[in-house]
Amino acid sequence: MFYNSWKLFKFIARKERTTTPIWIVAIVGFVVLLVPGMYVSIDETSRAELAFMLNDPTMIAMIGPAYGVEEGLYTFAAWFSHMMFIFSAMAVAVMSIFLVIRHTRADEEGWRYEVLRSLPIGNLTNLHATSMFTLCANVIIAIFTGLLMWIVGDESMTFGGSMLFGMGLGTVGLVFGGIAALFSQLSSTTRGALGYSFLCLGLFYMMRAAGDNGAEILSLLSPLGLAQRSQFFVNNHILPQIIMLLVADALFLTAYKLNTMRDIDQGFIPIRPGRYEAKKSLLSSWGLAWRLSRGTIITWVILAFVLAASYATILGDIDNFIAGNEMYQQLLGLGDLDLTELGGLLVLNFVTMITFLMTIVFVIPLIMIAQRLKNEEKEGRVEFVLSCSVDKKKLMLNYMLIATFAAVIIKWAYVLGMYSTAAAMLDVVPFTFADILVGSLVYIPAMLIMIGLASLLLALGKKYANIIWIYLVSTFFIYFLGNMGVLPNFVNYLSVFYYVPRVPVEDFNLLATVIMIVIAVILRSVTQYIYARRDISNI
Amino acid sequence: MIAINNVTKKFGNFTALKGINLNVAEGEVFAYIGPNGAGKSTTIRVLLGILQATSGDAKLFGKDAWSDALEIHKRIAYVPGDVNLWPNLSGGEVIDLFVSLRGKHDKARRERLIKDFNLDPTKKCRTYSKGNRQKVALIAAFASDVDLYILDEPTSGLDPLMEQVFQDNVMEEKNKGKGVFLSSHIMSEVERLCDRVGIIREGEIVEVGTLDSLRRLTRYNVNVSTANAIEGLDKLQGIYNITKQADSLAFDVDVAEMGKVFSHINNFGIIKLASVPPTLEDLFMQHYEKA
Repeated sequence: MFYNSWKLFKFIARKERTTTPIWIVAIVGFVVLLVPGMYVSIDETSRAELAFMLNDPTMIAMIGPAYGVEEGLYTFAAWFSHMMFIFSAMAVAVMSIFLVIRHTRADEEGWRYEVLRSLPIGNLTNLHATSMFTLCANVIIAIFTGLLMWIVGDESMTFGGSMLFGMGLGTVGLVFGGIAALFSQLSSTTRGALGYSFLCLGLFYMMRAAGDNGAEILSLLSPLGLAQRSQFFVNNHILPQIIMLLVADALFLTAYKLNTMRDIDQGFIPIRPGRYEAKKSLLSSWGLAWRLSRGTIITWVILAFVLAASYATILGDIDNFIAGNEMYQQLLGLGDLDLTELGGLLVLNFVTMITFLMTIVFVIPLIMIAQRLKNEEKEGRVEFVLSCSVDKKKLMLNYMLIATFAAVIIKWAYVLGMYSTAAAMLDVVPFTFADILVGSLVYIPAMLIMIGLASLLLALGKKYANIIWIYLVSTFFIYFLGNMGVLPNFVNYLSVFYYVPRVPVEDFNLLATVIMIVIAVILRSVTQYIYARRDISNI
Repeated sequence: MIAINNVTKKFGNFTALKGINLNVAEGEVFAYIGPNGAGKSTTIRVLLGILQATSGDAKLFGKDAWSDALEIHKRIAYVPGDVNLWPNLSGGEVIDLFVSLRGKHDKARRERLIKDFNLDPTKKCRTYSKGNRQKVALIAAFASDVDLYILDEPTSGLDPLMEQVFQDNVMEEKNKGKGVFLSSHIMSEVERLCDRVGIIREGEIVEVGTLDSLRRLTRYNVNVSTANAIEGLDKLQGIYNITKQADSLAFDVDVAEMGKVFSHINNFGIIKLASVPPTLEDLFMQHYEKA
């Protein structure tokens, strides 16, 4: 059943020679590099204040309970692991889910697994080799995180605690790898397997959030909560990690069993049948474009709401938060100011900054929608659609309009998430609804220009389309470095977002807004003109 | 119906089409064949107005393939050879979408075709095999009310039974006076369906004509036994590949020279004579290989 597993393991390692190392370096690097970063940014007194602030139910829901505060054991290491563990562990979980499904269900859904099975390998060889590779990846993360934390950390970051923290990341990765292995047997599609696995991750995160605020049992039943019960650097319990390993083992073994019980290409969860006939709303090039973009829009509307709500929860303590964090002070351009004099203005500054940064993030789905035709063209579907009576200009316009709609609705979700949460949680809301609404919607003309640029690059040719991502990332760095004053002034003008007035801190600027809208409209026409004149090819 | 006039298409330095000319009349089934990479799909994409010809012009229904694409496409249905469909749409949804993008919707016809092609339209496209994806595209094409079908190797994934259903549908459309432009590698399909054949090789049309007229340009294989040994055969024109067998002689002969050759052989007392026309494969191989 496991014949040639070692050979297949080496084959998987070869296929993974770039992807997994990138994940590992990113996760380990992120955790380890933040150790000195967070150490300089916070001293002992502000840590004590923070511990108080982190005792807030919303913060506990986000990152879990603080251990060792009463006993006076809330050292830097304890604080660091409290802040970092949940999200780092979730990153490892995401890596493991993708890794397992990539080599099991996804290979099976393509023709690749069938070809493998025609070779002299056992029926469990591929799953086993994938499991072993996942184990290796997680062990490497555990060991490197542990060792490097111990090396770069202060004296509170003990060897035992660091290694246990690393192990915690690894066991969470393995449990979710096991869950992914299970769902790649249960579901007969890659999409389904990924969907169910991530649904589990989300549910366990929420279970933990509820459990940490009361019903402890829920936290113990969630792998994320259980792993955190090691109380890193405070009590260093190893039992939770051993339970986690046993759970992971059980999950993988169940997946093995299910794999032997089923035929290739089959699953246990029945596929929902599609429609026998199309709904009327699909029956046009517009309907198709909408259908293909709908999922992206819904996902990002929810994401925008949640992100805004989670930022709103920290507004009450924002003075402390910013006082303790030099990076934020620099981002806000407050380096030389006396913070106490700013008062309510500080909150507004913070909200304005978050709105700006979120705008850059929200451009991601807009580009994905505006450049949908890139992949459609590559797959030969644009050719197929255009062979019907569909106008090329209209085809391009469909996606530009849907991206525009997405910009507006995502911004609204952000505003509603921010305002409703702030109104529910704060005694005094430091801004009016109009403030934050105008402050957010004022970015839409700039977002339209980004949509226009993304579409224009695609219209010029598929190979130019990705340049827009470089530009988007550079607008972030221009803002970041610009506020720190390390860039020559003219560089600021290269970012389209630089021209947006920072309402409510600055006044609304009608002229700038109108000019940006005019530019966006011109971009749209130029894009349509160019796209209508270029060849379509799937090469 | 289709008039391609001296069309050239260049991709950078590479010339995919070198000034080709083709005409397809109304109600005609035209087979467009040639080796892989000869320029078949490029020709079709120029006809569809998806690629713009570098020079020359392609006309469908008297309108320009590039600038009047929108009008032309109301009257044509295209089936690509390698069909990629949207993975999260069902086959039924894709069929309805394409039919409605082309114009009128005939529900009864859609149902009949789904039954004939034995397709489950409720499955998501990501689960379809290549053959099933082709069925979706074919049903969407035949369920549309159009005047010209442009089919680019439409049956490469179908089983023989479905191949038969496809051929029946093409014949039905032909009898209604609709035109079909069919690129294919399946010779039996070409032989059964097509009125005329065009052969393209390295971006040039090397031969156009009816199957009979193409056959006339080629050689028959002859196998003959005579009472006396045949002499002087190698001195005649149009004779190739003479091979001596146990009690007979085999050779290939140009159709134009057959009369002379047979009257020569007759002098030696024919006991048995068989002459076989070239198979389509032989015919096309000769054209494909011709330098």
